[in-house]
Amino acid sequence: MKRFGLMGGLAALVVLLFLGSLMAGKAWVPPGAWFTNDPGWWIIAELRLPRAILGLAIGAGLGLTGAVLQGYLRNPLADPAVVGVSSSAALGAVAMIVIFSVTTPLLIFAGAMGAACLSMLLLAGLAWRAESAVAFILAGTVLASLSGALTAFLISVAPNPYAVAEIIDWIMGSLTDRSFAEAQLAVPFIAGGCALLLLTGRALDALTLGEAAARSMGMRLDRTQLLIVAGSGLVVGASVAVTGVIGFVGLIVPHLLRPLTGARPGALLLPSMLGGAALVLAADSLVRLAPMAGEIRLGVAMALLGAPFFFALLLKMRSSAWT
Amino acid sequence: MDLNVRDLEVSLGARKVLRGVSANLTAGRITAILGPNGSGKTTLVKSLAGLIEPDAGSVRYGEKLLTRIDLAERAKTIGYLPQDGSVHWNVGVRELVALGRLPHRSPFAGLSHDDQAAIMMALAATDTIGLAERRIDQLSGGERARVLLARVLAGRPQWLLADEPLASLDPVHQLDMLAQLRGLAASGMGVVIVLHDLVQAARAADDVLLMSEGRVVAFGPAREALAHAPLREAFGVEVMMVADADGHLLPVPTGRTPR
Repeated sequence: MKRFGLMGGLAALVVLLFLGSLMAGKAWVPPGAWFTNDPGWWIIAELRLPRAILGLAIGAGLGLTGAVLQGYLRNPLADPAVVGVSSSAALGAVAMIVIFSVTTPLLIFAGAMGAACLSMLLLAGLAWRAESAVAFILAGTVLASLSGALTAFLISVAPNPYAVAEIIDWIMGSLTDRSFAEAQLAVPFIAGGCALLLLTGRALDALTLGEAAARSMGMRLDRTQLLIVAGSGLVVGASVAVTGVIGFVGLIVPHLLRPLTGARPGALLLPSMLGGAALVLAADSLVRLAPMAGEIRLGVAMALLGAPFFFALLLKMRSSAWT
Repeated sequence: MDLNVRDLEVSLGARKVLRGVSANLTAGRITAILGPNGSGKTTLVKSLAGLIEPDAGSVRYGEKLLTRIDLAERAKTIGYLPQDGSVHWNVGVRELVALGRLPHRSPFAGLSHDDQAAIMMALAATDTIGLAERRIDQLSGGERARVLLARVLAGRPQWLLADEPLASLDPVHQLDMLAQLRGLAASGMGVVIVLHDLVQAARAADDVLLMSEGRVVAFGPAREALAHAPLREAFGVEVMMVADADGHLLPVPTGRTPR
């Protein structure tokens, strides 16, 4: 009953924040102006609705991915950056901009998703049949480091300052000016990835007792690892492809919800989806309302929020065996 | 049904850990596995649980090869209690014991009445009903060991394989745990435990499998396997036999065997 209450509360919060994100911005559009000839309705239909849909999908996907990775790696500090897919997708997009001088969203998306898929295959290959989370972490760390280094290299050899500005602008992560075309591209991949990740709940619960006990309970951890590689690759790859890198959602959300759901990893998955959606919708509405000429980038805002949270978490872990 | 091990050979990496182990483990009895550190006890237990693929030889449950039994079915039949007893998240006791029902539940299904009944019986059998609403970090070492045993029992397995279940328990809790294992064996469950204490093995086990360097030194009733010669060969120690009030002959180590 408590779980249904929590899920209902989170779902209601997501609906409210979704509606709020349609109204909020430099121009406030009240519900009275919706579905009318008011120019405010045009702002919602053309600008804010695709942005809110993307925020909802990306937040849900990143929240779920964080909860799954923390459960799988049995580490409360894990988040999607651990598997290296964020940085690989960013590398793919940057390579399209620098090497092929591409500026159309569709081709940048293709580059990012292609790199995400390639990194998934590499990750699966490197960690295949190891069944151990350690091999998975090491493989992810290798990918993240390599992608980060190659991205820095590409920026350093960018042909002109405009390309560098475009890359940096994109890497900072933002939902600004995203259209229905980008939502149509990303949402199916994110939904597919979420579906795969939701299949891992039982194995994550069993892993609470360690790998040997989980296997003795009939869990196929090689299959679980493949689901996680493919699921997190699709979610994170598609997210990065349309918005750039938005970090910390996967780290923060499971932590905020764990005191409410209990520590069992499987119980955290659906609430983390809703919580992630709520966090990104709220953060994206707030960056629009900041009293500045331009918007704070969403990726920057999440990092500003996430870094102190991460620090507080480390301090808390020093005084407790569990978080 | 019995667990039959035949000519089992297992390597971990390049190292040969089990070398032709054979034994027929009987349901309804406690079999203690003893041997020096690194003699292959844990590897043997993991092989019995189907967690390690052997290089050669076989483990059969009744007539069936263990490796041919469906994973979920095997998980329902054989309960495995690992050596480390790690619990990675601070879950509630009832939630932890409920994990034992995972092999019986369909994906996305909640706990059925049968699951709830099995969980309550496991809590009762391990005398942990009073701990059910606590979290793992609120338990003592002994309570935690009983709760972890309850997790395995909630699956209602035919066999219980426990790797050093007495480690980190004080003498009182060791005696309680052994009494619980005796009760389980008396109810028809096959029980295999890895032990280090020769005296505990002599008191609690029906059969003893004594190992050294991946080989079986002795296998049979405790009184025969825990005799001077096999213990000398396995551990390189001399023992003094002391009779307890129940008539068990308890081997008490007195010193190294002279080379």
